[in-house]
Amino acid sequence: MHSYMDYIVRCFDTSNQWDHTNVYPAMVATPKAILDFPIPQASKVDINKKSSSHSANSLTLSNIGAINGSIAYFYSSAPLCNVVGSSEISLQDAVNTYQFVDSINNKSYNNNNNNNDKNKNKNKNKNKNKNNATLLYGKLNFPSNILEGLVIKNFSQNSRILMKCLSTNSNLLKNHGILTVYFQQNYPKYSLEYIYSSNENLVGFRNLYNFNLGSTIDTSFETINNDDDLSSPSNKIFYDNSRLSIGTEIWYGISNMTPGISNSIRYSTYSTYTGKPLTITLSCNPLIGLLSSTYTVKTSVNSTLCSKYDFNVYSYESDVSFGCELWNFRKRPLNEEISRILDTDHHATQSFQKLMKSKNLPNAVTNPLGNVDPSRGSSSGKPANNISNIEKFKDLYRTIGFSSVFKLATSLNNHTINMLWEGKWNDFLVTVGCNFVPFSSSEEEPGLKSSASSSSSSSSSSSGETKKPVSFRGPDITKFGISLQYSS
Amino acid sequence: MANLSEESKERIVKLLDTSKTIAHYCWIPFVIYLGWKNTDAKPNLINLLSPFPAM
Repeated sequence: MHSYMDYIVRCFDTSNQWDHTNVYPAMVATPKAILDFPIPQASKVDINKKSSSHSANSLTLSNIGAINGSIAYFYSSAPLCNVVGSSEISLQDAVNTYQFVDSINNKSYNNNNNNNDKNKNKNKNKNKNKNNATLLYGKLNFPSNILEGLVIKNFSQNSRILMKCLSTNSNLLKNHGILTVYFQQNYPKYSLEYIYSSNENLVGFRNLYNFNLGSTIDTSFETINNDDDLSSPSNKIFYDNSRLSIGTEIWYGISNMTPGISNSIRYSTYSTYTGKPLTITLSCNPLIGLLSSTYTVKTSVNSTLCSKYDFNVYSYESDVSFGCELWNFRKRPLNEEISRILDTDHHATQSFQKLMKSKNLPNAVTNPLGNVDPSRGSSSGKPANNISNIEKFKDLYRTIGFSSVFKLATSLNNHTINMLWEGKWNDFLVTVGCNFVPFSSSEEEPGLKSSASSSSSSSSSSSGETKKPVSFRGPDITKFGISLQYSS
Repeated sequence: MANLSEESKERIVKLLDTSKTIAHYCWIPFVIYLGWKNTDAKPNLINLLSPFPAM
């Protein structure tokens, strides 16, 4: 579950048209959300409120070790119109989950559509005000008296400065605090980030470049088939649905003279027939020799699968991780029927459509794939009503009222399983998670060996066959926590 | 810095420490004040400070 601060920053970014998927850390955000999700520690309660159109506050109480908590206040110069309470929020927005990455052409198409609106000038004025928006945030932790501060100042739609600060009066931190400054530039084609942190005088640079694979296909296709109107926006959506991003980050600690570098490649695409998205990433850290590849696919509207393979070229160590996400609907019969349509049957039968229509369900739910005939193929298929299957899949995902999500992740080396359940309970957002070892084994210590077996064991040990008695126990829970979040 | 006397250096360090302490304790009241100032219908202080929903 997103923290309230993350949620507000996300809403702020959305209202300022800041693409949070187009920055370097977001390249591996999808596999991270499915494989490396955080497990809550002990019990935690969050009470949040949007106190006015420009401000919000949050109180957190937890019992990690001793009872501690924090109080936080937000201010945004742009109205927080899209911030809603926990009773109204859709679970898709509240949970850190699969990140839909749009292609560049898709975005430019949407922008063109917006520009053609009649209220062009009004929108421009509004955007101008929004583009200079500021977000301030302060959080005081008690009893430690550590202050966390955040300032986001937008200069335009594509550039902003972000400052994070950690301050304390005690000697926990060097110089009683850390200040980190990010200057970010975010364009559809590329994004740049310059970073300075007062901690060890760290300087960093991150970049990300997008390559649109679809545009080359589109151009070549236009030259072959001039009869078809391929320059129409609907066809652009139909073909140009993939994005290849390449990024690098470079760090250098001036005080400790420590360098750092990593590179990543992300390929995101959607199935033209079903609209299901998939993301492939490859990350490389040449200094420690780590190669990490992930494959994430949204197999249906309510399930996501992810796998990761790590390999170290210096030590030859490797690891394989698996993770999945299962979403639960509010209404079970509807869930089953929609899954059946999306997964197995693209041609919904007449009888089934009649059945769904009799329940007076919206068109997006009753007929998620519209009148598109998948058998026509990508060369001749024209999306019905200028809406592609991709958009229909996204719309269906956004509009369904999910009640809960179950996440599970494991890796071969760790031998541990991470489980997380996130859902809505009355007006609360609840997170319950645990980390456990399914088959823990305990070896008896040498000193505890029974004297009765000493004679027999001495003979076996002398021959070099030392077998320690191993007893298997049940699941060993290493971490368990519950978190409640209420927003009004 | 080389031309500064020891006394001046001490003063600068003291000034920085004091400004840091002021920023530490005044940051949150400043954020609350900006939220109150920029809202058209000025909310009352309890509503602005309390995270609990208004009854």
